[in-house]
Amino acid sequence: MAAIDFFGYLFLALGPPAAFFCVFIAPKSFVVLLTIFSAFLWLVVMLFTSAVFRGFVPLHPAAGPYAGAVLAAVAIEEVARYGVWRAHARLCGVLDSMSRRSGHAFSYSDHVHLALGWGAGHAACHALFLFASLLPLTAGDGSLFSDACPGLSVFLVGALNCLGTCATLVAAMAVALEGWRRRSAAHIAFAPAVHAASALLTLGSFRSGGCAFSVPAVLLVGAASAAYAARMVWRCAPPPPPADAAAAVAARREE
Amino acid sequence: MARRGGGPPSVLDDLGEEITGIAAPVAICMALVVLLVRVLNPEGMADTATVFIATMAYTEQPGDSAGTKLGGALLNALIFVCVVAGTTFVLFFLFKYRCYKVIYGYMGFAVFDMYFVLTGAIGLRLLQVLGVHIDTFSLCFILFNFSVVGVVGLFFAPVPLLLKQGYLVWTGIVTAFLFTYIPEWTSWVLLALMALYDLAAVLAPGGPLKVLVELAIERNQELPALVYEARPSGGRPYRRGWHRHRAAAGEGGAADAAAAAGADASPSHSTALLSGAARSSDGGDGGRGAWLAGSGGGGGAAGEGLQLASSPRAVPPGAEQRGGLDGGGAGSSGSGSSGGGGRGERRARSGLRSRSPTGGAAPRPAAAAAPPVAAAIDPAPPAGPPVATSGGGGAAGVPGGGASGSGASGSGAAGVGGGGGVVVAVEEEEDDEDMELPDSIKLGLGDFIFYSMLVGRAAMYDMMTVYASFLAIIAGLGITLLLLALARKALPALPVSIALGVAFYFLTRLVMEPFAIPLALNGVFY
Repeated sequence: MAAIDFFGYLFLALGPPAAFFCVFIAPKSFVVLLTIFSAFLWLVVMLFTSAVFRGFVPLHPAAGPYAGAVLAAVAIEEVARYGVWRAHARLCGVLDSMSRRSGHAFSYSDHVHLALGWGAGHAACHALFLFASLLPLTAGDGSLFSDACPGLSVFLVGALNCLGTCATLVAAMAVALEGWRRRSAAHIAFAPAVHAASALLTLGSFRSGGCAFSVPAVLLVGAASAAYAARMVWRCAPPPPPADAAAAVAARREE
Repeated sequence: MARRGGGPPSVLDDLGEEITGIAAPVAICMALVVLLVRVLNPEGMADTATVFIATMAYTEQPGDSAGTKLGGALLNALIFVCVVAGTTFVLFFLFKYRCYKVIYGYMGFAVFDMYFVLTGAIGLRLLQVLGVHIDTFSLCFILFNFSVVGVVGLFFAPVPLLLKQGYLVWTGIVTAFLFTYIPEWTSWVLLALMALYDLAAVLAPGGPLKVLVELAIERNQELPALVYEARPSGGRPYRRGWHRHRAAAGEGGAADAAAAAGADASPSHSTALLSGAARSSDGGDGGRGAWLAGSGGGGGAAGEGLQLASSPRAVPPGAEQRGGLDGGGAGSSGSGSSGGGGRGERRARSGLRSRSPTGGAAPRPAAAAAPPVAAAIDPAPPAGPPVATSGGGGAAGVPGGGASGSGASGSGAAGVGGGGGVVVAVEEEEDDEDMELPDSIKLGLGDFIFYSMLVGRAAMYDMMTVYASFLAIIAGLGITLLLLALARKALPALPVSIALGVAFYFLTRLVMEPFAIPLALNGVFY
């Protein structure tokens, strides 16, 4: 039973992110390294946030104090996201110059991969420290339920919130970096908006029976964010080169 | 990464493969140590007999004051580091006076001991926890075969790279797991002191790893060491058994020549001695490479981790050649890349660490904790005789440990026997006269061990600290590689990662957990 609980929650929360990692991140070693660096960076940000609230913990277990803490944490992270954009812009400049020197390509697809790497690191950091660190508790017998949500265990709520928020964070990063690149206010504002919305929705767990609403809402926000990010990336992608141009390039390479 | 369409390849396709080739096994080693700790010792019970050398002066008692624990831990750690340094110097003298058979013999014995006894002890405990039954004969048969293949593959015969890599990672896992039995205060103080020792051993004039590397460079030999070698990047095939040996044959005595000859062709890696020394004798080794010397654990050669038995890792002269870049000797030859003499050989090898099979499950009395060999990796010239790290049970390890520290043997291998690890990135030479040299980075086993020991110790507290320490260590490894690229000389691999790992462990434990755990338990996620 313990193994079922442990692996069940693990795959529920981290299965799709792991699949995403294997398909989009793992094939490119540099993006893997970027993801790890991003996770480390967001760990530093989380430590900073924790240090800010160190004098106030433990917070009163009510929606109000936690709403303030969550909003402050999201605000700190969104400020840090601007720093990520600056680092991303610099990185793209370096890679672009490398590609010119080496004759390799640095295409829009690579830009997107890098943005996904940044986002995956952000999501991984939150998933590890706000969900995965609790998983060992499921290895024993029994489970844990809150008074406000007797129908869903704390771990199940955490797993589903983790899944939805991970999707939100990856999508938000992709949209934000593209927004900063294009100086699009709407895209720039998207990330803080969905991040705050997703985080505040999780406070529904404090209300009696609120998790029945908050958990699906967080999942919905995650799915909607992912869909929006995919649509934006698809729309912003440059048009493919004409067929004859591609054939000419191929012929030149063969020569 | 396959290219789609007819366009030029993406700049991201091959970028960073060398680094992930090293980071991945480090991550696997750390993950498996955490798994072993959580399954076999989740309460963090210490066993002073298991790692005798690290608890010689003081045994922690629950009722002791913080000051007493700190003082005792400091004393234990100082003794440990002194043993590591001492064995490194012994290794240096063995290498200097060409006692290759002693080194190789001791290392072979120690490695066999680790694969048979320690692995068997851990296996037995796992079988007990999982409730799996097995008869004695079958267990001994499996362990014996496992051990023989390991010893032969690491030291004597070319085996598939993946097999050698697997054995090296398992060596790191076993040693690190045994090190987790060191009491808590001693563990943390030991990690800090080993990082400082690594700095001194690699960078300070007269440091044990530094002198060992310089001797190896001077002789154009590789020091044998247990060094993990990543696969070549860029899709180039990994070629075993190639090595270059140039003037090496004429440089030393017969033994050296034999060693240089390298019975086993192992790929030479073009490794550049960033310090510029060089490979001059090689007439253009021309290898370019990045060397990250880590003096890890020091010499512990012996055992760097395993204090119980000395398990020097010595690479037989022939195998040594093979080892080439691998790091010297013992480990390196395993990978077969040890390029033997010649320029390829100039790799920094890290000292080997001998591991003494202390048997996690069965504490060994008075195991000599083979001090981990800090590997000062210095892209040294061709492999020398393997550095035996002693570890022997109870006995002070042979300098093998030192070897590991010393790993700095030329060849780029980052071998760290003991503590440190040297990370070596080898670039392919353009003036490739007689063979193509694969590009790869090598990291000494000492780094694997101490990184995993830190994470394993964190696992005894909480998984949140494990994740934080893991990320910090990987970030530290990346920073170290960056410094290596900037400094272009041998650098210790332990300090940055250990400093970040320890700092993030305590920050997570003291600052993040009081904030994050209530959030998670209340279903809040941001």
